[in-house]
Amino acid sequence: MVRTLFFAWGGLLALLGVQVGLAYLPLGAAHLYFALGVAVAMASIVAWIFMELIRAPHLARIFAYAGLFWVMAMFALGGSDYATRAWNRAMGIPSANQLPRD
Amino acid sequence: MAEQSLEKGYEADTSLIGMWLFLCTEVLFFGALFFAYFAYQHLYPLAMAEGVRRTDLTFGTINTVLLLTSSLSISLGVVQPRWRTRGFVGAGALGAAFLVVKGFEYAKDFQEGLFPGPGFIAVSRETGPEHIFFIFYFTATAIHALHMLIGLGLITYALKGKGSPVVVALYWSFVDIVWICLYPLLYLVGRGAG
Repeated sequence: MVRTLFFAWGGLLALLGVQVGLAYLPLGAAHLYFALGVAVAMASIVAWIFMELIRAPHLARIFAYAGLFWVMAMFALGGSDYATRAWNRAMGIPSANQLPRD
Repeated sequence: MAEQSLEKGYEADTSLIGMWLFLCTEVLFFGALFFAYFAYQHLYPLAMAEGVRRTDLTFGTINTVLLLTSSLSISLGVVQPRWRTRGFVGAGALGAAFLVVKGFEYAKDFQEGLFPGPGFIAVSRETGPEHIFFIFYFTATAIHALHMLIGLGLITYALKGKGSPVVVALYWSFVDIVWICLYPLLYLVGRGAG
């Protein structure tokens, strides 16, 4: 168990190095996704190994997944507004805040 | 005797599950904060990248290493009962070091005119969105630092033999996860030229 913890820590530091390296590559807008991908991997290592989610009671795991699910629902519903605004612009339809008011 | 130990087991399970439930509410709280970041990022990508280039990568990276190591330390204290005191003291010391580094970083930020308000020094014409990045930066890091202070209080409490060390360690590592998610957004995305 102790060895697993040290391996996890080493993995986290390696991923941190990858993340800093990626920051200087010409990835453009994709950089956000790469950086978040590495961050999710790091957060998963902390949750599964350091926080022992891997051995946690089932109810605790259900809470962890529920939190993740709710936050994803919020991101999906909130983000869909921002993601679809360009479609309206492309079709020449003014967005809600540009509509004339009576 | 058997009944007593069974009850003890339930008690440990209940406090563990209770902490996970609390952390679930924290995920939603920080989720809203991160959502705000993504909305700003979508609306003002250039100003957000400008903000990232003005934060101090060295301070941020040192702090990330400190927190990752403090999580290791507290986890060692949980899995090896004979290392408990050392593990928890180590985690607390690294956490305190994080706050000291953050203090130096804030001082530097203030000097460089990064605090939003009349003294703010913008580097592009997008003054408003540049402010927004630093409003996010100071709000997010201050809320995170507050969580660290609460965590340090909980560690002290656990070292006095009160409460459940496992539950304290869960909270501590969660605060580490929040930082892991904040770090790339505040220090990395948009730093390079591309």
